[in-house]
Amino acid sequence: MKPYLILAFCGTLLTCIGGSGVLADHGSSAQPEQQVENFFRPHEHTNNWAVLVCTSRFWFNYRHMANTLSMYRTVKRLGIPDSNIILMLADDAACNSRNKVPGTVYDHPSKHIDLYGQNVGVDYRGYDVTVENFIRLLTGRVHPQTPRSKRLLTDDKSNVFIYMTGHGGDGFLKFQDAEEISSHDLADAFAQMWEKQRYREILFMVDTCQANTMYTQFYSPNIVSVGSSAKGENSYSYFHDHDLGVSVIDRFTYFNLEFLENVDSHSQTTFRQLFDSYDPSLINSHPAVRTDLYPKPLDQVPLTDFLGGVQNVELTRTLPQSIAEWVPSIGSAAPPVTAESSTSPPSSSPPLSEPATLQAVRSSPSWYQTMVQYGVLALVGWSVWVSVV
Amino acid sequence: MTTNPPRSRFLYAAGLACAIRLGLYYLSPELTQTLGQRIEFVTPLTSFKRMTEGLHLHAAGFDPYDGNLYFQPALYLPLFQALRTLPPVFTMVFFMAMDVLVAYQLVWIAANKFRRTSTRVVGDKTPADPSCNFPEDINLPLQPESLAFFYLLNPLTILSCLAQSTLIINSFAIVTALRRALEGRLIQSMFWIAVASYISFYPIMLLFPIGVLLINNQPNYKPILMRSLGAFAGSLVGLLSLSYMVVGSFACLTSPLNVILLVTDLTPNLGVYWYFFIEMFDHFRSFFLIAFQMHTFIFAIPVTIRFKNQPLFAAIIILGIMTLFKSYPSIGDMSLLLGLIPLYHELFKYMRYGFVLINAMIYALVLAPLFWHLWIYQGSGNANFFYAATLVYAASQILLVVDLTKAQIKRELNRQYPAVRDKLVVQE
Repeated sequence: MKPYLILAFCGTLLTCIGGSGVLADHGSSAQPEQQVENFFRPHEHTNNWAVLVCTSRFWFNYRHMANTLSMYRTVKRLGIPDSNIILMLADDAACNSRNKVPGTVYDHPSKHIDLYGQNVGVDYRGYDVTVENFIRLLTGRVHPQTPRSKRLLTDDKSNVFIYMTGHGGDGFLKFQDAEEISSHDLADAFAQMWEKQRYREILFMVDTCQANTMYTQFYSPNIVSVGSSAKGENSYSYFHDHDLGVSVIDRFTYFNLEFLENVDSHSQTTFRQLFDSYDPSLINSHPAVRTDLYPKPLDQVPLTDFLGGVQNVELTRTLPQSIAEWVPSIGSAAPPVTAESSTSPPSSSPPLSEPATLQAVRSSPSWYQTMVQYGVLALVGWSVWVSVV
Repeated sequence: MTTNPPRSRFLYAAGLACAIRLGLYYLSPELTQTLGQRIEFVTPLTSFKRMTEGLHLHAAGFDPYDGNLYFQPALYLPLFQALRTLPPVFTMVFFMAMDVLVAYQLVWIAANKFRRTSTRVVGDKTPADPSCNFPEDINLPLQPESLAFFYLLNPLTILSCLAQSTLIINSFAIVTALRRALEGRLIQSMFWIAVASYISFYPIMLLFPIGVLLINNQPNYKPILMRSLGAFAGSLVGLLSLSYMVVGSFACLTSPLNVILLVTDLTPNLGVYWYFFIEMFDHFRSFFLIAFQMHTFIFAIPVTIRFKNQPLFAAIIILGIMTLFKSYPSIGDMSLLLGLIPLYHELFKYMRYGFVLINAMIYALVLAPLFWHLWIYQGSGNANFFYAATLVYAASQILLVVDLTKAQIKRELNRQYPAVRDKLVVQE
């Protein structure tokens, strides 16, 4: 009986020696502050927004609806969430009584992708797509009771992608056959946005007839614009669906989409490559890009800067001092952070298996805790043994 | 105290049980995960998932009771923390070992009880006809080791073990207390009842039948009573102070009691409390709490008084009532009860509702997960469906307890007045 008792006791002791491991304390250093600053410096934008406007209505402008919806699907696929997309559509194509396949919008005669689908989030639909609403949306001067989904909640670190399609002319764009927006209005709206710090950079893409005239009047910084056709040129549609009886996509948008098909949220494809891929003989018009207001060379700007919503994540192993103050009982009473490296080298890096935050909180168990732990285990083992025997 | 240790049949039972449990564990590892989340097998007080949550908080230096998720006793923390340092299969082995130990204690209880029953005489009256034997009572066909088989191979027990419900420790404490009380070891039985009460509050009711067991018909009961109460109080205080040392705050006492007595966690389970208290107005809450909890505790003393000559039976009936009316019952309670019932297999021939209650139990246990699925996953049922299955479960347990009581009384009557053995007795 006695030897077994001693054996049981030793057994419990051995098994819980590993249980109360002492974890290394970590010390904070100047490194984390630098890391956080370096993280934010090169990527000057922190969020992406998209404003996709289809300015036409009626069944025979099906292709403009399809243009906008294709761009909508693309930016969604590349990562911009619905909450950051403002979609302005007349939205009268999918459930039109002339639509042979109701509830759907296609951009290809083969109908292999339904753009409308189950989860399209249209923010401004039908008669709400007006010039006034558009300019109010951009400048932020909306009615106080405008719901959140209809506001452009950008800040000075947002990259905004604005896409417009429909019928246009020399310096104007027709809104729903009733009114028009001129290039001056648009330029002033962008200027207001700049004054109010509502954007970091804008990519303005327009697919209409004589589209390049729309961006000639811009005067605010950090705007890169691309249009589908020069002054005096028309933009043409691409596929005609004999089943539906309408054209289903425009050429410029189609070739953009074709290029973007090979792009996903991890791509580093740049705008230079996109713009270089335009072939005027295929598009049947001369698309052009205006970059004089844009500081960066286009071969250094990835597509996902505007078209995607890519989150930059960087792992850091230690907490900066400023955040360490939030979490109580972190065992680092380090001196204040200085710009030059501190005298002590970066502290012993914690083992890779555990996240930094959890380690920071646990302090090594006192002898009292360990004693209580062993004592409880001994008591449990002994009582079970004695009760059974 | 009996001198015959359980025979090798017990080892067969234990080996078979371990093989089944380990086999099921290795065959489908997600079975443990799935069962560990089923509310029939685990409750907020016995869930192993919550155990790991509490361990995590404790390891991080926080008070595990802070998160309002962990309500188990604080002394589990060092135990399971030590288990965690070993590979995960050792946790399963631990639960399996506890199951086997419960079965071991059951066999000892059975050996003790079977030895007693064959020579006991009910009350102080000898049978009227001394030449009349009771062959069905004396030649007990059941061997003590069979209880191990009944308990370990019961599918409810197997599933409860796989679900890693920590109730098994509570069950172990209860059966050890019963065994030591039968053997007359006062301090040990009081210690284990203190452990059981510390874990979940309800076994405190078992103090009464265990006290009667310890007194064992001696006229001089006061010193035994004092000693046992002292041992109980001392053990309880020791356990609570040890848990205070582990956790560092009195939440180790207040938090589990809050949940057990005040029913603050309303996770659905196989009990009758949650449905009522989900929809109760605060104005009436304390009234209904008192009504429900009193219903559980009020039977302890009357049952003990009525069955003061069969205190083990009183303990089993009180356990049955506890399983019925505790705030968070689970299948583990049921499996313990079903493991203890064969101790009184001589009552089975007096039981009238066997077929009904077995069927009701099966219906309830099949319908409960079905209605749960309908309610939670399909959305085509609602809580009433599931609660109805729960009520059927409770009804079957009530039938069991009541029938057992009636059977015991009838048997007492038959032994006292053998002339009425086969006749219908009507009370005028």
